[in-house]
Amino acid sequence: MKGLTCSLLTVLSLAIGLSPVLAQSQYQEQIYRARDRVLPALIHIQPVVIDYMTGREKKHPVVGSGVILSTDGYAVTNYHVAGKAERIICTLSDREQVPAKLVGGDPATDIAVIKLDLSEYKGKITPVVLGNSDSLDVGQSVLAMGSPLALSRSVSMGVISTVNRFFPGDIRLPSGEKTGQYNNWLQTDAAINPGNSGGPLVNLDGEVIGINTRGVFFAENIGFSIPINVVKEVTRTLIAYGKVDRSWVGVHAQPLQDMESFFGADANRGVLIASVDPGSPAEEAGLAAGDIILKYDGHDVSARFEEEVPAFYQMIASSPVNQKVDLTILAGGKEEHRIVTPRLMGDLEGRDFDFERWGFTARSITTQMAIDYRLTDTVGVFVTQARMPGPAFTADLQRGDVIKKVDKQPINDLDQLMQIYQAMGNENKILLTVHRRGDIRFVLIKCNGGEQKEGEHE
Amino acid sequence: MNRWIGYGAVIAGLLFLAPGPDVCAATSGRQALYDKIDRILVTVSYKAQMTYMGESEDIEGRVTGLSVGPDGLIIFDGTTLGTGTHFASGGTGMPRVEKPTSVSVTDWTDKTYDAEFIGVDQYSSIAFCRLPDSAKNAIATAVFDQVDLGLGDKVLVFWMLPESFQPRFQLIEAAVTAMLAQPEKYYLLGELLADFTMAPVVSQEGKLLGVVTPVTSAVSEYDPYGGGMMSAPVGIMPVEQLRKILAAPPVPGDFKQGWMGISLQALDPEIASFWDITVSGGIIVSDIIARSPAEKAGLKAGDFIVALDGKPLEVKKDAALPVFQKMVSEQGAGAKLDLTVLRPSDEKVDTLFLTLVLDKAPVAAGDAPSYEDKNFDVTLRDLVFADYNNRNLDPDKIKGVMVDKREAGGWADIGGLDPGDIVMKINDQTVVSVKEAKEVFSRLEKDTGREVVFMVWRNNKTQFVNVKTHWK
Repeated sequence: MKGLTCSLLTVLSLAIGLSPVLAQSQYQEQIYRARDRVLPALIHIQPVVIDYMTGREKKHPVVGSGVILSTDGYAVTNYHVAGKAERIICTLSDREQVPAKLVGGDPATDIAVIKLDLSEYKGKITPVVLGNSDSLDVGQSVLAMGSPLALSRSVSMGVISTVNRFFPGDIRLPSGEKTGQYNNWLQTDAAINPGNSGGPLVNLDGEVIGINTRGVFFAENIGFSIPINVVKEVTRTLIAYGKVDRSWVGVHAQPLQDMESFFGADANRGVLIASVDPGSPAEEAGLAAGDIILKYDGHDVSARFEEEVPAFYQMIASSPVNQKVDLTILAGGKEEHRIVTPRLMGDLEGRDFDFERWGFTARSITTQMAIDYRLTDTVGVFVTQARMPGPAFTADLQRGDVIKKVDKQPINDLDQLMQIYQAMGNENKILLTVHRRGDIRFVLIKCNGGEQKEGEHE
Repeated sequence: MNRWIGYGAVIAGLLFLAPGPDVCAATSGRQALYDKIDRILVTVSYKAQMTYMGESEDIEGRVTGLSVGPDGLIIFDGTTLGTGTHFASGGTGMPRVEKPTSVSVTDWTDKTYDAEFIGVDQYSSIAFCRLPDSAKNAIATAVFDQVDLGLGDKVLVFWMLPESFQPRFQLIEAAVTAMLAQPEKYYLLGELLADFTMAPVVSQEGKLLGVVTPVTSAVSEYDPYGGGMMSAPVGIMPVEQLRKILAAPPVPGDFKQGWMGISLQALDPEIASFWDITVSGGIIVSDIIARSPAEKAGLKAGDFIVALDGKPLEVKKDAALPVFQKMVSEQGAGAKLDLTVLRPSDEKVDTLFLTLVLDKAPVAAGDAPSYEDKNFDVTLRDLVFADYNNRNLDPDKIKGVMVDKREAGGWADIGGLDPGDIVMKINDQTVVSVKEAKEVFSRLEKDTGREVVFMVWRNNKTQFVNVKTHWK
């Protein structure tokens, strides 16, 4: 009896052992086909970006990945790869190099579109096919392609780990902009390393289903991609207008989960307002923390779980500006209406300039910055960094100081300060009046006629 | 304890019967000098709680102390303890040491006494404690001598050795490396670091000159030229200044220090010259605290205070600001100050004479009323001035109580209340003090089985935090 069981098992395992071999070879074929559909459109991007992080304008080369969208040379990558690029060099899959120009970037979704200059290119451009990121399954096999650690044309493989990853809190790009609030993320265990940024996440049909954007330091096998449906929308807008305008109402939402009974709301209904930006359309409309939005412009809205919050933000962002929107809200347990008029959100961060002789970099102040850094208004110029060592650093000018006056001249904006700076020449002493966290401070910058050498003491 | 110390105790007993300057004449030279000073030196051991990012842990310290009063007054190094009572350390971002739960004093005979903690002088970081009445005359009292030193003069510094060592102190020879005038008058001892704080300094002749103190209240500052943290210089505080501090030990719970209610910046004469004003220094009023004495006196942000009670101010650099702050603080609440104020505008500079009546200094975070709720495992405390100042909050808009600590794994922690959150509402109830919060909590306890929703101020925004309550 026992012997029979044994031999039966042997036969069984042999029988089922045959079909995986067959399936595996088909599976391998499928991977090759998917690879071959995307690899020709994969590009290795070397932009030279400008940053102002050290208190001086500094160019430095970075490396990222991208994928070609059209035969006329439009390609998509991450904003944090090419969004601030001064010039871009791309290496195509046949290792030929072509220059490219920045078409536009959107920091809020971390997407940038570049256009390859194909005038001298002799090869054939094969754009990718974009898939549908709304019909993905957890566990589905995917390939990540790109240039991890600048190792170009690398392919890694894994599965979709989750289709709806939400990042709470405040994620910012290296250049300072808030990002990621309008979409959830695809999470994959296909290896994604620095340099993969902007490269495609591909299903086994060879369709691009996401743009690989971020990994997690000190973690393994956790990478995140922007779903391709978000990318499609943003790239279309960027190609048409060079930027993505969003509408702004000024509410911060919070999942309603477990708080329904306190706020007297039905389960699965409504979006809880956690806070309202000062001076925002929402504040003007009389919305307050603790109100629950049930309908936005007649459409039911709901965010019981955190993953549902980005869709609500996206709904606000895509509603037309300067047109009244009727909100049905629950305030103090009663259904009421509020009329809110969304305004254009504008740039998240302002433009940078290096005031080299004075020894600092500064940025124009946008409405969103004023809210973010709790400034009283957008008047003045925001100091991003004092160069170290340097005259402004010695004078104790600090990041976050808002320049209100130069000598006795009130400063309204960056352009005005730049004009004054250029007109001034080599003045020895400049007195800045700045606002620092509610305080007025005077900062006396002594230029000493020339630049101090690095490492040299005063 | 070994025989040597037992023998020492007998000697000490004899000494107290017949104290005198030349008791140790039998031994000679440096040893005599050591023995003489050793008798007034103590080591002070304390236990305290340190709170950092809402978590508390027990800490212990052993520092140099000195017997300074006939009534059992002991001073010791309060650098670590100072932050708890210093009103500027209100936020939860830096470690805060609570008042010590126990302080004990050990004399040169290795005899240990329990002492009562008094407080820490805000500017010198000198801590005070007092021996019990039964032992108040047990330790001989230090007498400080005013000696004029010159550059390069040698002094001897008593530096404490680790606990098990005998003798307790080693002598280190140091030289006066600078005669500081600004921000305060100090003899700098260049070879020494802040580690030497409170170490007694003795002249070659054996006269007690004072104790090592860091210059200004800043212990260290960032070196912009790549050296990392730079230790602040240490030196000997002038004896008259030390005597002033010793004459008025801080009184527990009594905030009699004067307070103007301004943020300030030093008036560099070069800044004043932009308005064609010639001054020897002064104070720029950077901000006026609402409803403060400064506001009542009519001061405005941007004003220059150039003289106090007719005396020109010589504050030229921010490093010298503590001198001014101390001057104001020492006047005490209720004192009247006559200020000479310049008010510059684009066209002209007005001169004003304003009278300001000092208020008492605001309560420190460590001294603010607090309440620990055992059901939520959370400690709340009243908001203090420093919270508003450090976080740039509008006192008219942000009212509530601060989440000071919470037990890891307690209901408050699980629900997501974070240290540093300002609780503005508990359920529908606004709370502006721990007293009110306590009332709300006690009502909640009777009302079982509900979720409790806190409205908090976090990251400069309001937010709701749901804490499920599981009453027993």
